[in-house]
Amino acid sequence: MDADQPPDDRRWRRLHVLVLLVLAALIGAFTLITKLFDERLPP
Amino acid sequence: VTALDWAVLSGTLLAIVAWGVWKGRGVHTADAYLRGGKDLRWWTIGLSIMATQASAITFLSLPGQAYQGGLGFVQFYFGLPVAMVLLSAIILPIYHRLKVYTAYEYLETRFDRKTRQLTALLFLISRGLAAGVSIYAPAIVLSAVLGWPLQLTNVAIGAAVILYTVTGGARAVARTQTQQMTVILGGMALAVVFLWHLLPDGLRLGEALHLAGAFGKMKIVDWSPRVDTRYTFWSGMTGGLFVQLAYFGTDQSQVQRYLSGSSLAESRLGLLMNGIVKIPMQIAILFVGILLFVFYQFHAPPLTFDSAAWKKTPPAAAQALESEWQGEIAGRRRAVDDYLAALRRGAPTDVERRAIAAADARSEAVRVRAQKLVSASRSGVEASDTDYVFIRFILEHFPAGLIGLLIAVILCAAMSATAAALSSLGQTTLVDFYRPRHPDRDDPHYLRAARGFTVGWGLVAVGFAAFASLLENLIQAVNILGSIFYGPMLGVFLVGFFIKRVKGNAAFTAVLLAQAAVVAAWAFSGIGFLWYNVIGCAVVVVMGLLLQLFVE
Repeated sequence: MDADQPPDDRRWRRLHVLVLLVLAALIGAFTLITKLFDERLPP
Repeated sequence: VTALDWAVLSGTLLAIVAWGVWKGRGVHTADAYLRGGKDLRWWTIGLSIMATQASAITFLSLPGQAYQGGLGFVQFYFGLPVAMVLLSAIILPIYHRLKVYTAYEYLETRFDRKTRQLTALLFLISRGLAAGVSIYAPAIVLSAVLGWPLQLTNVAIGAAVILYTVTGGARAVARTQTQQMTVILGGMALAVVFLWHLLPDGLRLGEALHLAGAFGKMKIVDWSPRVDTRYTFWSGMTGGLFVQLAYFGTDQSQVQRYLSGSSLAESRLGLLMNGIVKIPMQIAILFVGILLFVFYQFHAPPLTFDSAAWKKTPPAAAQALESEWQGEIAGRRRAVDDYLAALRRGAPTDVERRAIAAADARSEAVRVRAQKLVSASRSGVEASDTDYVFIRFILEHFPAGLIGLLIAVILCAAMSATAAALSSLGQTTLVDFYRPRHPDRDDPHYLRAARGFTVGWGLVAVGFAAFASLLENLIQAVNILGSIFYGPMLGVFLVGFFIKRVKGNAAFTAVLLAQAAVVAAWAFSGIGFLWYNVIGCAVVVVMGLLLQLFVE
């Protein structure tokens, strides 16, 4: 750990934002799938 | 289970155990044993984190859960990527800067030794019991469906795990977890391929999904703000975030995994890999359940999947329900055929959809009565039929060889979760309790002590699994027990990280009060146990602040 380069904060921030964007994209895709295929009606 | 299955199963498991022992043979220092020599790259850490969280019950019950309730359970994991980002950005750099072995060491630098040891003790109790469950839960399912002797299965799983965990410590755990995850992911992918192959010829993916959707299985995201629905977007992003933050941030069985990284960057990347891959993996496992559901629209499903439990019900009542079930299933099949015909003509109307929903409600009513019959004949034990859906399907419909591989998947998951638990329990016992009391011993002494503690915890886990086999109700109590300790544990860490004015005495007393509050909530109120986390955490924060003001 001591041999690490000084942390490149901006790069890590971008990576963290990317993970959250992937989450948003997954939730978006899941919402779309729900809209397309969830067609249950009350009996 | 054929000879080929036994060959695949024993070959896979023996190879992994031997690999673990082989990889761990170079462990000659306490540091290598406890932190794997800190030489792990990010993908090993990521796989190791995922293998630790995925227990056997994940693979046994998730497909069953989707089969019964649809894909909505995945929302529980929506908070996980956020938790990974928070850990990577805020908490992990602190652990790395302090060069800690366990998360609880941080609490001594921030508060004092008694707060550290109290929190470490809460971890030892909850994880020690959970390690027993991670052995016992698959053992009971496999013994029920395969007729394996239950106690022998407990001992065999425990002994295999103890062998390589004690030999190679954290390094062997991480290396074997990589192999175990490969078996798990490969086995599940093959299961999807074969399952698809078993569906009727000419059925297209879109049709299968529409059919599952007509039964309400395709509701993945529920945006409604209802609090009485367990899995919604909102509960996943709040309660789910809470649970994942507590689990990954304060449970040493996970902290040990990512602190074995060769650098802060590798540890961070491992966590973020988990943040990206976990939800797709969970939805894929749940999707197996959807394919199973579609399969059972064209083949009559059993009334209950736990056939051993079903055989213990009164024969007359069971017979009556069985014939009622056959009638409802035939009616459901007609509704399905009408729906598919309409789908192929163009679009089904509400007439076909309502027919599906009505047929589903009628068959579901029979199934619920069957579950009640099973529960009544097992002295008040809640029937958990979902755990048996996937394994029974595997045994009845998959070809020889694949059955062995999928049982290996389940046992790999059991071993990976148990190994991480035992390794971290031994580590915490040494680092947070033994070494502070005996600070002047040499390194070989600590290595021997760490191995001894790991064996000790392994025996506790196997012993508890054997004991739990005698008392089925205990298992439910233990599941709740996990939630009892997480709230106060997360609370004291959050106070440590974010509320600088609270000092050791106030934090220590606040944890004790929070623990008492959660136990009181468990004993005297009907509050759902997922809320114990919130209560415990909130009491630590509020009481910590109040006591600090009062003391000052």
